[in-house]
Amino acid sequence: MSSDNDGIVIVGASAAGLSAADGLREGGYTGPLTVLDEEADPGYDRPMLSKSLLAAKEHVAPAALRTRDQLAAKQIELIAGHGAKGLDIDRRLVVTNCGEAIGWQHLVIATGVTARPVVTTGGTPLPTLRTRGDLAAVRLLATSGEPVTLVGGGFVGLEAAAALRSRGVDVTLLCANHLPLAGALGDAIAIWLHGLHLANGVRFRLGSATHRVAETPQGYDIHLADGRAEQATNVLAGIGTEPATDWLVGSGVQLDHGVVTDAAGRTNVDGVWAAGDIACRWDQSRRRHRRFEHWTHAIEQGRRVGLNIARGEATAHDAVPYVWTEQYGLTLHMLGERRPGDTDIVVEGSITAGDFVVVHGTDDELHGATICGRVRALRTLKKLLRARASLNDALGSAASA
Amino acid sequence: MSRVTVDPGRCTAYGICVGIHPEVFAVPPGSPVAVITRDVLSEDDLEDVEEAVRACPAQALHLIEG
Ligand SMILES: Cc1cc2nc3c(=O)[nH]c(=O)nc-3n(C[C@H](O)[C@H](O)[C@H](O)COP(=O)(O)OP(=O)(O)OC[C@H]3O[C@@H](n4cnc5c(N)ncnc54)[C@H](O)[C@@H]3O)c2cc1C
Ligand code: SF4
Repeated sequence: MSSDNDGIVIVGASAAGLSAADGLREGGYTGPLTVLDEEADPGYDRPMLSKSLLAAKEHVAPAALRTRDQLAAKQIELIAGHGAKGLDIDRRLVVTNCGEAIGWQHLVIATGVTARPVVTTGGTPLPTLRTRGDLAAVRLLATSGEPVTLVGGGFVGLEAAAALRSRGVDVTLLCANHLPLAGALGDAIAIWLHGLHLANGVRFRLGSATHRVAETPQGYDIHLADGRAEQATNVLAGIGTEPATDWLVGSGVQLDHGVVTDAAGRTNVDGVWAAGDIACRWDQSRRRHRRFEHWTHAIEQGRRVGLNIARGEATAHDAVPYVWTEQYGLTLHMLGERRPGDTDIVVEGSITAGDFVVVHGTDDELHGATICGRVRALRTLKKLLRARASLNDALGSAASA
Repeated sequence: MSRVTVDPGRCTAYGICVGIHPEVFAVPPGSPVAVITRDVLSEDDLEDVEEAVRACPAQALHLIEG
């Protein structure tokens, strides 16, 4: 760690931050490189928290993203257990919760997001699943033998439902939408996925947001927006995320539901960059700033920022978005992005069989694809999306495959 | 000729690599590690294989360029 301003500091040692460090070395940067993280043991396989690590009978720690040796070989100094508390853009310092002031020439903000809290009327935040520490708490719910009510029907909620059912836990899922993930997947796939959960014994309360949660001697009374109430013994909340920007408020770095960056990852402050879940990046194809919360996006964008700094470039990151989710042993792969009002066309297999390739688009524009089972279609569709192909091209490629 | 290898001591067989390049990586049912299904990589494979190397949470993949 240096108090000079000649080095590069990365805040956040997870997917985006560690990839930015690798990108810097790959791009030829040989100077001091420090990565700070508030967690004591940061940088682990976060997507597994809601999947096999929750389903496992025995506690298994999430895999570390880097070994000590890998970091040492690249001369990356990891300072774990030190959180960034403030940023001084004039003196080019990051201030930590341990009282240090660390100088930088370039700074990469990669502090990700936190689970959006749901707080009871008594002021207690409900458990969520985002970190290594959360996993330990949620695993206790799974072994209590008591029913669990999941608040929120997004990816994490559905994956947790599947993992808990595989352990025989009684699960009720509360979801604000009429169907879980209908926006991302389209109704046809969402109906199938909902059916898969029903067949595996999950109970649903659909179509009403959680309005208020009150603690009771037995657990919780959950009041829904439509006036219904649900009693719960144990709860787990998964209603979305909030960018971890607290430490940047008032710093001069532009914030708007995340750290605002251009397509290359630069913020409004010279020398300050952002990558990963926290970055609200200019998306040329949609012509607006937006965040992506996906593993490969965090890695690829982090690397791109590292390369840009090392090479003195401002190359845009414009990869085709990719995200997967695993439920009941089936993996859904989503490429690109389905948009509201899109038509969903099965180009291979059958949705009800859980073995399909579905493309999403309007008129003649291809926006995305959802694939289950037939992984060989992934690369063809990725290439079509990258080439901004039409829906017809996608239909044609399936016919010729 | 480039090729890619899997470190069996590190791989967790979850298959993020398969989602990125399914013609090069596979996790057969019951296999404790990912397997490489294309020994010699083509030009067209490289970009996605490099992405898989970076995305692998266990850092179990190694690209040997040649
Ligand atoms: C349960 C779960 C399941 C998921 N499953 C999938 C999936 O199947 N597929 C997929 O594509 N994506 C999935 N994701 C999303 C994926 O994990 C994220 O997109 C990815 O982790 C983002 O990486 P990041 O580095 O941007 O942020 P994060 O992983 O959130 O890391 C941010 C880091 O910054 C640190 N930090 C925060 N504030 C400070 C501070 N002030 N000072 C210092 N350090 C700080 C944190 O401790 C953390 O280590 C899942 C996420 C969760 C929570
Ligand atoms: S992504 Fe890495 S750990 Fe996962 S299956 Fe592939 S090689 Fe193994």
